[in-house]
Amino acid sequence: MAYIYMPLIFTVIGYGILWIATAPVIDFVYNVGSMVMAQEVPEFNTQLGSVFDGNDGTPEEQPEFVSTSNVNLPVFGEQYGQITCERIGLDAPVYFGDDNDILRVGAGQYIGSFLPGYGRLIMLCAHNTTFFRPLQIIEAGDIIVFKTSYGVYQYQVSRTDIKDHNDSSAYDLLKEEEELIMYTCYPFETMVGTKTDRLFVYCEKISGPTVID
Amino acid sequence: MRNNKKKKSNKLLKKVISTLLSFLLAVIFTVGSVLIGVYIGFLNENRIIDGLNYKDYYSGVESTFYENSKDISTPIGLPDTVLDGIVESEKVHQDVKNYVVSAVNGQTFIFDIDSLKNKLEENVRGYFASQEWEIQPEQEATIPEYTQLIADEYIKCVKLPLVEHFASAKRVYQKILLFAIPSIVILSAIIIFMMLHMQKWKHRGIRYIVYSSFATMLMVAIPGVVALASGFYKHINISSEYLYYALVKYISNGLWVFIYLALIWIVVSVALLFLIRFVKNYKN
Repeated sequence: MAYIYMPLIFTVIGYGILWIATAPVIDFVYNVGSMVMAQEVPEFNTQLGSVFDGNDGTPEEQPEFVSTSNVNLPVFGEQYGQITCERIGLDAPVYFGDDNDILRVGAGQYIGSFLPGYGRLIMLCAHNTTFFRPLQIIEAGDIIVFKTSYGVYQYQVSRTDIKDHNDSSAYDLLKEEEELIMYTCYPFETMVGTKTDRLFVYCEKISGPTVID
Repeated sequence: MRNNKKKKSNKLLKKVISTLLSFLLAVIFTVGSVLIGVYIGFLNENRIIDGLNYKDYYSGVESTFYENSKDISTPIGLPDTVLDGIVESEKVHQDVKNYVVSAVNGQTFIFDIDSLKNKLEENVRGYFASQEWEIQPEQEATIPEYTQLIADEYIKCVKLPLVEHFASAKRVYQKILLFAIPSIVILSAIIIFMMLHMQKWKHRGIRYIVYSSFATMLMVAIPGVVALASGFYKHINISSEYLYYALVKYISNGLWVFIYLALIWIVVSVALLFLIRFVKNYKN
C-alpha cells in the first residue's frame, strides 16, 4: 500500500511546493500565454466570407435613412459590397480589410475608415493591374455606384491626385463629411520600378441612405 | 523499558529522515528527468524535422512563396505565369531541411538563388516577347530589382521562424546540463547511500528509493499526460497552416518524450521491487 500512497503524497507535496514557488510568475505566464492561445483550435479556412446579399436595388429607390440594426457589420476579410463605374468598366467586390488575401480577390477597405452611409471617410484600394486598372481613365464627374446589403450609394468623382504612398495629407480620417477615396499604385505601366506613388480618386456622396441609431 | 523507548524513537527518526530523503531524491530525479526530457524532446533538431515532415510543411512553404510572389508581381504588372517553374518542389524541400539543420547547428546556410533568378528573368523576357513589347531601359533596370525581390521572398519563406535562436538556446542548455547532470548524479548517490546506510536491512532502504522512483514517474508523466489529453497547445494562434501543424507536432513529440521517460521510471521501479524481493530472499 505504501508503494501507492507514498509516491502520491510526494507528488502532491512536490507540485504544491512548485506551485507556491512559481505563484508570482504563474499569472504573468498565463497572461502571456493567453496572447498566443485562441479559445478554440484555429481553423484555416482560406475562403473569405461575405455579408453582401447582392442587393439588386437601384439608387433611385433608396430610403433616406437606414437603422444601424439593419446594417450587418462585416468582420475583417468579409465582402460587404460591390463597387461599379459603368463608364470605365470598374466592377469590384469590396471587402472589409486590405491585406494581400483580400487584394487578390477584390478591393479592400482600410479598416480605419468608415462604411458607406456613416457620413465619414471611406477608403478603398486595389491593385492597379487588376480591379482598379480602370481608374487610369477615370475623370471628374464619373458616377460610382457602391452597393451594400443595407443600401445603394452613388458617389461622383470630384478630382484625382497623385501623391507619395507615405503622404498622409492625401486623406483626412477625421473628416465629418462623407467622402469616398479610391487609391491604387501609380503609374499603371508594367515594370517601371517600385511604385511608391498612389493615384487618389476623390468622390462626393450624391445619394444613398444615411445610417442612424 | 527506557531502551525500548529509545529504540522506538530512533526507529521513528530513521523513518522520518528516510522519508524526507526519499522525497528529496524524488525531486532530484524529477529535475534530472525534466532537464533530459527538454533536451531530448525540444532541443533536438530531429524533433523539428519530424514536425516539418508531419503535414505538408514543404508544399505549404512552396505555395506561400508562390502566393506572396504573385502579390509582388501583380502590382508590377506581371502575370502569374512569369513565376512558372522558377523553383522546384525538391529544391524547396532540400533548402528548408538544410537551412534548419544549419541553423540548429549554429551555421549560416547560403541559399543558392541564382537558378531562381535566371529562370525568372527568362520568363519575364519571354512574357515581353510574347506580348511583342520591347523592353524599355526603365523596365530593363527593374528586372534585377524584381528578381531580387522574389529571391528575397523565397529566402523569407524557407526560413523557419525563430529557428536561428535554437542553436544559442541549445548551447546555453548544454552548459546547464554539463553542470546539472553530474550534480544530480552525485546528490542522488549521496542520498541513496545515506538511505541504505541508515537501514539495518538493505531492502528497507531500497523501498524508499522505490517511493522516489514511483513519485518521479508521476511527476514527470502528469504534465505530459495532461497536455496531450487536453490538447491545449493545439490552440496556439499561428497564421500559416503548415507552420501551425509543424509546431503542434513538434510540441506533441516533445511531450511524448516525458511519457517515455515516465515509462522508464516505471521499469526502474519494477526492477527495484524485484531487487527488494531478491535481497529479502537472500537475507533469509
